[in-house]
Amino acid sequence: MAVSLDLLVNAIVAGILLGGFYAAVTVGVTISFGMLDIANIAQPAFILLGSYAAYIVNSYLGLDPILIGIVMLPVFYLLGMAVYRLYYYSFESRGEQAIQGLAFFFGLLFVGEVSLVLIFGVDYRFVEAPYIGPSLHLGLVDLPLRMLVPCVTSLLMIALLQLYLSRSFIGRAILAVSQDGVALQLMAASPMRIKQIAFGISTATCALAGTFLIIIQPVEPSIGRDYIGRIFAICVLGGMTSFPGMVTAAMLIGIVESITATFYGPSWAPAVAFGFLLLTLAVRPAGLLGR
Amino acid sequence: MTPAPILEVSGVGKRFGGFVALESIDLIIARGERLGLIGPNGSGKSTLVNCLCGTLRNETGRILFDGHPLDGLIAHERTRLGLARSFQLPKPFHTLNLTDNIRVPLLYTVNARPGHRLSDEQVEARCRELLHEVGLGDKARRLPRDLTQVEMRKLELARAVATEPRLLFADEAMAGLSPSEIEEILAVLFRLNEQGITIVLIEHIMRAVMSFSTRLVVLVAGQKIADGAPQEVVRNPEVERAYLGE
Amino acid sequence: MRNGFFWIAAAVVGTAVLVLTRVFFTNEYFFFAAYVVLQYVVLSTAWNILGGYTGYTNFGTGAFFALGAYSSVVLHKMPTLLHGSFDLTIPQIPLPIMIVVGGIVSGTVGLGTGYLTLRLRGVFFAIATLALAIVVQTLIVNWDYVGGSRGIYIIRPALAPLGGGYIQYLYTLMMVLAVISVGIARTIERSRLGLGFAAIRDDELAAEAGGVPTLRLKLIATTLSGALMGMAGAPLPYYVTYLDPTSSFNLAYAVNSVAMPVIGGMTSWIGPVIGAILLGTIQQLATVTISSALNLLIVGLLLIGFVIIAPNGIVGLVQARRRARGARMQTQPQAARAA
Repeated sequence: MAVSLDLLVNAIVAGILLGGFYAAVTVGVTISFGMLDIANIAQPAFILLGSYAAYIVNSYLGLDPILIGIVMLPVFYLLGMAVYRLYYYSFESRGEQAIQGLAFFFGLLFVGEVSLVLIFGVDYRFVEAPYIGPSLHLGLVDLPLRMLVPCVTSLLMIALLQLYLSRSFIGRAILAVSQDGVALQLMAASPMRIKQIAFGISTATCALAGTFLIIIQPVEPSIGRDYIGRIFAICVLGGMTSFPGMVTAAMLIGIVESITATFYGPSWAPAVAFGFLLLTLAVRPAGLLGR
Repeated sequence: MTPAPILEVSGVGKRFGGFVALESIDLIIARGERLGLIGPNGSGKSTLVNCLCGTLRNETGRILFDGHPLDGLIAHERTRLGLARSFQLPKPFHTLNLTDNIRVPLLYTVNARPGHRLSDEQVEARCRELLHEVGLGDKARRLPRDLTQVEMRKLELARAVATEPRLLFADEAMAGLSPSEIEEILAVLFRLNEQGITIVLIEHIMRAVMSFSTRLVVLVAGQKIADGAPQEVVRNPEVERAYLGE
Repeated sequence: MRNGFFWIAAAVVGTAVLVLTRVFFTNEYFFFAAYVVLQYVVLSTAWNILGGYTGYTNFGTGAFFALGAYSSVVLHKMPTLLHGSFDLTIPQIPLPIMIVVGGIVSGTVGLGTGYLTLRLRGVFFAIATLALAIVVQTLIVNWDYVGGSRGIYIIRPALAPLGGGYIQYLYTLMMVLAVISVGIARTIERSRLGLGFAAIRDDELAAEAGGVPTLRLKLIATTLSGALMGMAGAPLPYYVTYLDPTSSFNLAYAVNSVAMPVIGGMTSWIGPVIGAILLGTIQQLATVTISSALNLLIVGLLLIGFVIIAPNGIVGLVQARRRARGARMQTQPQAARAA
């Protein structure tokens, strides 16, 4: 097939921008699954919640979506803490089988999607902002602002999180609890409280990730399902706990998806991430950069 | 001529990322022996047991069980060959009663080996016999959550014995038990050894190790630093330095 | 009850219900609804073999179910294709054969997914099944031969084997499948295989150390579970007559096949049956009064509620009450003596 350089370069650039967004979508799971070992498959539901929250406020008050996302951070943080408490008292402290925990999150994912359908219907919703529409043109390359802005903001958010986790006391406690909860108990810090905070942070990222999503494309309730494969593929490929690994994996998947969409059609995109997931699990469960 | 050893371990090594858990371990275990394996926490004792039993894969070295190479065999295959272990933290099948807890390994080892298979009645009888041997006969229909600590340890051993092993690794079967409970477990282990099972006792409780073992091996930081008669090993200055027992 | 007797009893009950309902129910709607309930009996029982017995959660029931349905579509179009392209004439393929083929296709996919993911922790298998549903849907949407995203129309044959209407025939087939799947589940429960599954569920490491070939057993469970789901899906094209990816991959199948065993009880064959009949009947009655989205919302909320409050399901609640009554009876005489 004759590959136009123009198309290829733009596909790769679009993939990188997409990857930046995917990193935002995944960072919450890197914390909840990679560090806390909680398989939060309801993550897409929280993200969509963020998208719809941005939609409501944006359409009624006209506020900038990313601003809305930032304002929503504490709300989602509290939501995450509440969900973790429920999860902890129902399952972790009872030592129940993994199945019940998984079924719980699956129920949340499902109830989330169906609730959105009941409240908003299946029509696509979108937000309005000055950077949705125009593109930067640098020679061969087109940089749509609606992708550039989320990508940059996302990487900023992840960098700040990384700083927080490695510098602050709570952040380091989170890293500690991800490695050895018992040791943490002996240091007189309560693992449950730390995990609650971590899960809250993980859910808070969904406020912004949801905003990014609705900036990049119009949303409707069922698109959450497309993201499960992507999120966990990126998390595993990125080595489960490493933020740099996760960003690398996100970019990689973003680029492959973008190239596939450009040359083979967009309907194959969900299969790309799944293919990556299976490949990683079969070959290198420790991810790209190792554990 | 001395009979062939039951286990020959040569050059076994295991790393976790950058951390070297085991460094080129050589070990010969004679048939019928009572071997004590001691070492400080984190010295690699459990890692060694896991590598020998197949739960973990060692990167280097060879293991011969009764002359049979174990490379490439996974845990359940090694158990079927006759190599059994009990776990440090008891891992019972918590939704099954005690009889079924014994029945599972029995059905999947004894009845899976070539040769005569036990009938259902024989299996049932053997389960009761094994529970009786460890003193759990009257709790045959109870669930593991109704057991005391020492009873759980006995169940662990009974499950391992159900597989009719020739070599048994008893991994810290006595941690946290009272002196009389320790004696109970030791009695079980002595009896098993008399029946012909080679036993490797991995333990911290020096009194138990000294009274039980015919030979002592010491691991420190993934290396074997002593191997010999218990009285001599214990007087070894390196051992004293690295590991002050009870 | 000896296993042989159970099969006979199940077959007798199934045949009795079959004969009585076909003779006395003249309203076709009953058979439409009953088909769906029986379909859920098969799906829930199939899910539970891997989920409740072995401890591995499958969130992609839709994928295995739809693969069965679409393999039937392929077989349905086979005579036309062979005649048109190769000038070969073969008769219409009978539905029972389609069911078997559907089982083989889904079973193989189950085996493949399992082989790739079951050497890792159960959580990865669960996630892989979630993603699998999306991927299979993507593949179907892009395959024009089976209708792609537009969907495909399937015409029901005019004559049903064994007389009566075609929908009664479908109902009969599904009853047979239900009896077979329940029989298989119960046989497994009492067998060495079932004990091995339970050991894997309770403590996989200890099971492996005890001589249980865990990977092989898990693959058996995944294949069997997938195959039964595929068989449940095979008659679907003839039931709906218009098959499209959105409806056949409907999340309803995924959530119901998890909710019904969880609510009914995962430890025994009877749990999924109770859950399927209870939830399935309620949903069939409810679809005429409330929207399907609200319907599914309630199922989802029930799932979350049961998983938190009654994780062992209805069967678990009954067993707990029996144990409590037994314990009370034991302590009361002692209390009387102490007084």
